Amino acid sequence: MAKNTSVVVETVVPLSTQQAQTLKAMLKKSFGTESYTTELNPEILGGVRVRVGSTVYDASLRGKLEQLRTS
Amino acid sequence: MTDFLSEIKKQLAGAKLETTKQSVGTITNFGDGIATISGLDDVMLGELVLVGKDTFALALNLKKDNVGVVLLTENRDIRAGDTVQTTGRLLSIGVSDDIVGRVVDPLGRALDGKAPIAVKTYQPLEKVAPGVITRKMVTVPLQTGIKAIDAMIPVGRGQRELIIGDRGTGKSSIGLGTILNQRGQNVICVYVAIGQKRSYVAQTVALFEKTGSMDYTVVVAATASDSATSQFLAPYAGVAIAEYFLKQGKDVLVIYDDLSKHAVAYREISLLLRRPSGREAYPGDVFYLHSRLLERACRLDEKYGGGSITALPIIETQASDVSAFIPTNVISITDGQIYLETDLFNSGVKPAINVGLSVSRVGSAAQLKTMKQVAGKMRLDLAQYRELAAFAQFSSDLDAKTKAQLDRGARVSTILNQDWDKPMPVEDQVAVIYAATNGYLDSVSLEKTRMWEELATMYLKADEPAILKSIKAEGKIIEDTEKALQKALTTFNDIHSELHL
Repeated sequence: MAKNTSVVVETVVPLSTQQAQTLKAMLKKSFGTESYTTELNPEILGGVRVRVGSTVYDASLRGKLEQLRTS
Repeated sequence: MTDFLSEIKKQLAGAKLETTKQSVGTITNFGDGIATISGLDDVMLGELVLVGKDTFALALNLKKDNVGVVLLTENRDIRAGDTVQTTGRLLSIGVSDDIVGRVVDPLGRALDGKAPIAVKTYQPLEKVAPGVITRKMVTVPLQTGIKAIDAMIPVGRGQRELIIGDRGTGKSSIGLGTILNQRGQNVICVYVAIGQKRSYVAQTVALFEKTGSMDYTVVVAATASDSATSQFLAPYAGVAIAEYFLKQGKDVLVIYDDLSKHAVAYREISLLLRRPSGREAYPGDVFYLHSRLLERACRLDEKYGGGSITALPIIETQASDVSAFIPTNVISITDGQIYLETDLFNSGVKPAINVGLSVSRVGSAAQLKTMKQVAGKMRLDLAQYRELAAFAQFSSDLDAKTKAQLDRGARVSTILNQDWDKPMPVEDQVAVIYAATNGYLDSVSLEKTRMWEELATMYLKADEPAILKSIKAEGKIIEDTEKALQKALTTFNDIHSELHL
């Protein structure tokens, strides 16, 4: 399957410049790319959710609540 | 109150909340219970995936840039663009000892309106069959209670015996009769109904309940109105339940009714998934579909826990064509077949077994010695009789020897007739067949043969229980028993002179 490495970052409020810098550094280190698109998504309640290609890294409040519900 | 609060606090503190990594995809195409998904890079073949919030699907096609999944439950709210995520789980069914006596669907959900099945463990639907080392020869008989089968086409525990024939020849009846006969035999039965009418399933369950057979039976039902996916999964769910009891060292009997409809359901799924079609439009792996299922029938060595799974798959032929694709496949996988014929059925032979074409490749090693003693030559004799009977129709005057052979044959084949829902204990079978093959019925008129059989078994049970007990216990007919049986049969014939010509 062709690896596509487009990065989408979902947050509730826009990231601050410093947060964006940190995120870029992390993306560069892990996936070798700095470019990403941002999406504002109030449904995740808080935190951040990053989608790289077809893999989702979920550090959102909603994700944690879901974990609580299923554990 | 404080207890409650501290309990909640403790629970919350104990919960692991981590950043999760998950493979996701989006639906690009959806219809007929099949969805095509882009993304989902890490999906495994046969993995359970979550579509939307609560619909599960099974990944069946992994291609270069998309994944084909089949939905396990009906959901009309699915749209293209919906998110799909992997679960890391393979399809499995929740089982426990409580499942006995229940009617479930292939995902283990109760269909009988009673409480959900308590789950002890999950059994995978797809599992590699037990290896060569763990297996053992088939040596213990599985009594079907049907004279013609137990005498001539014996089935052993751990065997795969195909029941094949046209529609309406009594295929299911043989399977159901066998289940009825397993009471007190220490066998768990699993009846898998694939693509059957719901009314038929209800009727079957009612029969099991009436006869008390439900105490040791599980019914797995994917009826004609259920999805093709459900029908495709039903036999695997059945054998998964059987494997749960196998693990406890128990003997299990599984009846797949029927695998023709199973193949048709799989063909539907395969065509919708756009897999290339082959002969009769079945996909290329339709042989493997059945072989991997039937290979899971086994008899395990005691070192590996013992126990067995006996499989009685049923195949429906069209116009007696056993050389069609699916029948030949399943014939070659199984350890023999019971071949039922419309002509025999219509001429009143019930069960309508064609003795010449039916075989059991491993069962004779498992047949009781007593039965082998009395029925050893019956198969050949009966085949000779049928040939002679066909020939004799053309000639009017027959010599005495031929006539005697015909008379004997007619009585033996009448004795093999039996109502499907009246299984017979093996010791009664031995006594009756002994009488028929040794000429004790020669003087009985043909119309009264069935009545003779009924009265004689009643007589033996009431007046000579020692003989039957000895036949069952000894494993073979010892000389004393044979003499006692001869005497008893002569006495019986004297008492009931009204049955004679």
